[in-house]
Amino acid sequence: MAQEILRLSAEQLYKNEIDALIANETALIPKGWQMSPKSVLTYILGGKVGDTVITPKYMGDRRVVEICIATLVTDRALLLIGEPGTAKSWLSEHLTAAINGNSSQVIQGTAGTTEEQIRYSWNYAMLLAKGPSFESLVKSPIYNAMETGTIARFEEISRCASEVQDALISILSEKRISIPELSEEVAAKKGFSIIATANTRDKGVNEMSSALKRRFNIVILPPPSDMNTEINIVKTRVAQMSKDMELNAEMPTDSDFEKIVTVFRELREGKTLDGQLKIKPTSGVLSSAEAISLMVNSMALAGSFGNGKVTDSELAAALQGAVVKDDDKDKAAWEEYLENIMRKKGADYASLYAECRERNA
Amino acid sequence: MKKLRDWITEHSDNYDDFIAAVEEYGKSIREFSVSDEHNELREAYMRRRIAESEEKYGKAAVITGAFHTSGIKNIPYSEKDKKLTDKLKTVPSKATLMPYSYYRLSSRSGYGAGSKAPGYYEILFRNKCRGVPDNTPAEYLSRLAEYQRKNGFSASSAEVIEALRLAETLAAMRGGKRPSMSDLRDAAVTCLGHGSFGEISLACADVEIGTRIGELPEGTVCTSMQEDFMHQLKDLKLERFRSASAQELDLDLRENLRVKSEKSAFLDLHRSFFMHRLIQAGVHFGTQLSTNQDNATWSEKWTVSWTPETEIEIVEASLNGETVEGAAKTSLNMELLDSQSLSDTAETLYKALLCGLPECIKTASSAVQRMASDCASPVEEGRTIGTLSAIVRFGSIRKLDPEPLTGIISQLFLKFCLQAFNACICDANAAEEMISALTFVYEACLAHDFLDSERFRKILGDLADSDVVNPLISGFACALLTEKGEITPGKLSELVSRRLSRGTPPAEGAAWFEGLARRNRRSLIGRLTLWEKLCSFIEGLDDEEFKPVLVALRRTFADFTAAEKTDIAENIGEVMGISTQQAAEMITAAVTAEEQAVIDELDDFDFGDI
Repeated sequence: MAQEILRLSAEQLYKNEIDALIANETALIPKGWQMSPKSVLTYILGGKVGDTVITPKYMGDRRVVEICIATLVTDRALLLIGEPGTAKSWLSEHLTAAINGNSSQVIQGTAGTTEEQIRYSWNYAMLLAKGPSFESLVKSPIYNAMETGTIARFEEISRCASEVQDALISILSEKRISIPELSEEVAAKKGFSIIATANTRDKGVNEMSSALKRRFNIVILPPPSDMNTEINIVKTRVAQMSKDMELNAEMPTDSDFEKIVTVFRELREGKTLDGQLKIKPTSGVLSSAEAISLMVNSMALAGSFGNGKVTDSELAAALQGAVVKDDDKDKAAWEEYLENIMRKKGADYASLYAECRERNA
Repeated sequence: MKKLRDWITEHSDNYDDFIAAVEEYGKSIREFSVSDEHNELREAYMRRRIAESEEKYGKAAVITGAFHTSGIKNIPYSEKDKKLTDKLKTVPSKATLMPYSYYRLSSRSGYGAGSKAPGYYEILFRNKCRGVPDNTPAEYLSRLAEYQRKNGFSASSAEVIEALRLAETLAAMRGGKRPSMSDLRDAAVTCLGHGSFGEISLACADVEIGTRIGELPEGTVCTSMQEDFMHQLKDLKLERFRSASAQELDLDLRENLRVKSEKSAFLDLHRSFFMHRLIQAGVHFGTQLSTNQDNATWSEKWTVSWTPETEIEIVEASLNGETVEGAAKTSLNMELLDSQSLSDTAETLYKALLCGLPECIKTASSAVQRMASDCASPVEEGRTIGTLSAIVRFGSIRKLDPEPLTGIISQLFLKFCLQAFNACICDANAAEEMISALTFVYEACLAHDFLDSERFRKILGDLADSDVVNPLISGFACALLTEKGEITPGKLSELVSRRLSRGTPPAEGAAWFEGLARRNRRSLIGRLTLWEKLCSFIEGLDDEEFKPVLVALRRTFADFTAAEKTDIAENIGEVMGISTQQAAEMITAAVTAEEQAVIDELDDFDFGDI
C-alpha cells in the first residue's frame, strides 16, 4: 500500500525516528507536545538517540531552528519567511510532525481562500435538516488544532486577500473562536499554535497588516549559507527523489553537483564565490529547490532519451531553461556570465561552457 | 571558545569567580594555540618591565589580556628573559595621548582584541554593581526599543515583552540561567526586527557599541599626522618648500639611472605620490600645473607653498587617519562609497593610481567591477573603457600591475558589445555620445591584444549595414571599418550607393556621410567613386530637400583643412569636368556678400533633428 502513495507525510516517513525520540525522552515535555523541545531540535537537525540514527531534515543554521522551536514553546505563532525554495514548508511540516505527530492540519493560502476556510463552515444538508448545531459545523484545520491543542499550518499566507488574513488576528490574540450562530465560544487548549509561511517574492501582493504581523514571531530562512551545505542538500534530495521516482539514470557526479550549485549560487548572490567579481543577476528564481529539480530533470532526460548518464549537454539544456526565464535581458546576462565568469573557470568547466554557449547563441 | 568567553563575562556573579574563570579561559586558549617566538619575547619583555618597576616603586598592578596572565604570573623573571630582551633594538618612539571612544574599543573598528559590544557590557557591569544583574536583558531590549521609537520606527512594549520571553526560552533550551547577548540579539531580531536584522541594525550599533568618547585637556594633543608630514618632508628632501613663498617643483617620474639606491632613483615618483596624497587628504600644500601633452605621462609641475591654513588642514585630515597615506586612503575609500556612476568610480581609481596606493587601486578596481556589472549605459561603459585603457597603458611609470584591470576592461568590453547595437538606435544628441564611446572602445581594441576585436568588428559591421540605427553612427562605423581595412571596396561602394540613393531620406544620407567623414579623410579623398556618388546625390535633390542636406554637408566639411579641401576640389573637378584650379578657387575663396545673404536665409530654416 505504502509503495503506491506518491508522497508519504513526514510523520509516516520518519515514524521510527519519532518513536525512538519519544521512547528515549528525558527532558520536560511542554503541554500538548509529544516530545521535548530538545528532541524536536534533534529530529530536525539529525543526531543519534539510543540506537536509532536520526537523519537531518534541515541543513542550515542551528540557531534558526532553535528560535523556531523556542517561539512555539512560548505559545506565540511562528511566521517563516524566505525566498522560494528555502525549505519553509519543509521545515513547518517536520516541526508539526515532531511536535504533534500530525502535519496534516494545513490551510493552503491562495487568492481564493475565504474566511470560512480559516474559521469554520457549514454542512448545508445537515444545517437544513437539523438547524445550526455543532453537528452541522465543518471545522477548519485551525479550529481542529485549537480543540486538540495542536499546531496548524498555514501555507503561503501572503497569497490570501488581506481581509482573510486578518481573520487570524482574533484567533491569535484571544486564542478563541466565537460561533455567533450557536452563541458559543471555543477556547484553544494549551499547545495550540500556528506556523505560517510566506514567500518574499510575493511581497506587496497582499501585504500583511501590521496588526497581524505583530502576532507572529518572524523568522527569515536564509538560503544555504555555504557551498558545501548546499551541495549536500541538493545531493541528498536528488538521491531520495530519483529513488522514489525510479529514474533510470546514474547519479550525476560530484563535480556536476558542484558546477550547478556554483552557477546557481553565483547568479543568486550576484557575485563570484570568492566575492571578487560582481555578476549581474538574472530574473528567475535560482534556489536550491530549483537546483534539485534541474538535476532530477537532467536525470530523467538522460534516463529516458540518453544513455543513462548525465552529460554536460543535458546540464546545459536544463541550465538554459532555468536561467533564461523570459526575455532578452536574461539572455544577455547569461551570456555575460558565461563569457566573464564560466569561461575563465578552467578546464573543468570547458565542455559545460561550450554546450551552454551553443545553446544561448 | 568565543561563546565561552561571553558566557564567563556575562554570567559570573562575583569578582573572584570572574577573575578565576577568565584566567582559566586564557590558559585554555594557550593550550590550543602554538607558542611562537614572538609571543615568548613579548612576555619576557613584560616580565622584565614588571620586575624593574616593582624594584623601583614597589608592588605593581598589571592590566593585561587573559591570554598573557599565566605567562606573566606563573613564570618568574629570570636571567634568560634578560638575555632575550637585551637583544632587542631600541627604536625612538613618542608617546602621545589621544581620546578613545567606545567605537574604537569595539572589534567593529578593526581592533583585533576589541570587545564585541562595549555598550552592552557597560549595562551589564552597572547592573552588577547595583546588585541587579537580572535587569540586564530587559534593559538591553528596552533600550533597543527606545532607540527605534526615537528614530521613527514602531516598537511596542508588547514586542519587548515577547522578545524577553523568547530570549529566556532560548537560554533555557541551551541550559543557561540567564539569556546571553546572542540570545538577546536573536530574540530582538525576531520580535523587534520582525525577522530581519537590518531593521534594528542601527539600534543594535547604538546600544551594543555606544557612542561615548573620552576627553583630554586642551593642548596635550599632537596628532601623529603632523609628525608624519614633517617626517615625509625630510625623507623626500622637500623641507625647503616649507616656506610662505610659492616655489615651483618639477618632477621627472622616470627612474633616475645616475644614482645608486632605489630610493633616490624613484625620488621624484615618491614626491609625486606624496603631493597627490596630500591633495587627496584635503591638504593644499601644492597645486599641480597642467603640463603640455608631449611629456604628460612622466613629467609633473607643481607650485608649492606653506600657509597657516595648510597646518589646519593637516590637523583636520588627522580625523581620517594617522599618516598622510592613511588619510588619503580613507578619503579615497569614502569617495568610492559615495560615487554613483561607473565613470566616477573609474575616476577615483585613476586618483588612487596617482597617489600610488596599491591597496586602494585594488578596492577601487573591484568597485569599478561591481559598478560595471550593474551598468546599463554603453556610453558610460565606453568612457570607462577609455579611462581604464589609459591607466593600463600609462600606469607602468607608476609601477602599476595592470593584471586586475585588464579583466575589468574585457568585462566592460563584452557588455558594451552586447548593448551597443540597441543603444545606437537613438536621436542626434545620444548619437554624439555613442560615437565618442565607440571611439574609446575602438582605440582600446587597437591598444590591447586581450580584447576580442573580432566581436567588435562584427558589431561595427552590423552598425554600418543597418538602416535602423542612427545614420550618423552608421556612417561612423563604416569609417572605422574603412580605417582598419576591414571592409571591401565593393561593400563600401554598395553602402555609399544605398545611403546616397533616392530611397534614403536625403537628411539621413547627409548625416551618414557626415559620420563617414569623421575619420581617415585621406583615404576617403582618394576614392573617386565616392565623390561621383556624392555629386549625383546632390544633383538629384530638389530645392526643399537640398536645404537640410546643405546644412549637414557644410557641417561635415567645416573642419576639413584647406589642403584637404583642395584635394576634394580636385576630385570634384575630375567628376564635373572642370579644371582643378577653378574648382579649388571656388571652394576655398572667401564668402561673398551675395552668398552670405543666401546663407543667412538659412537661419530661419527649421533644422529639426539634424
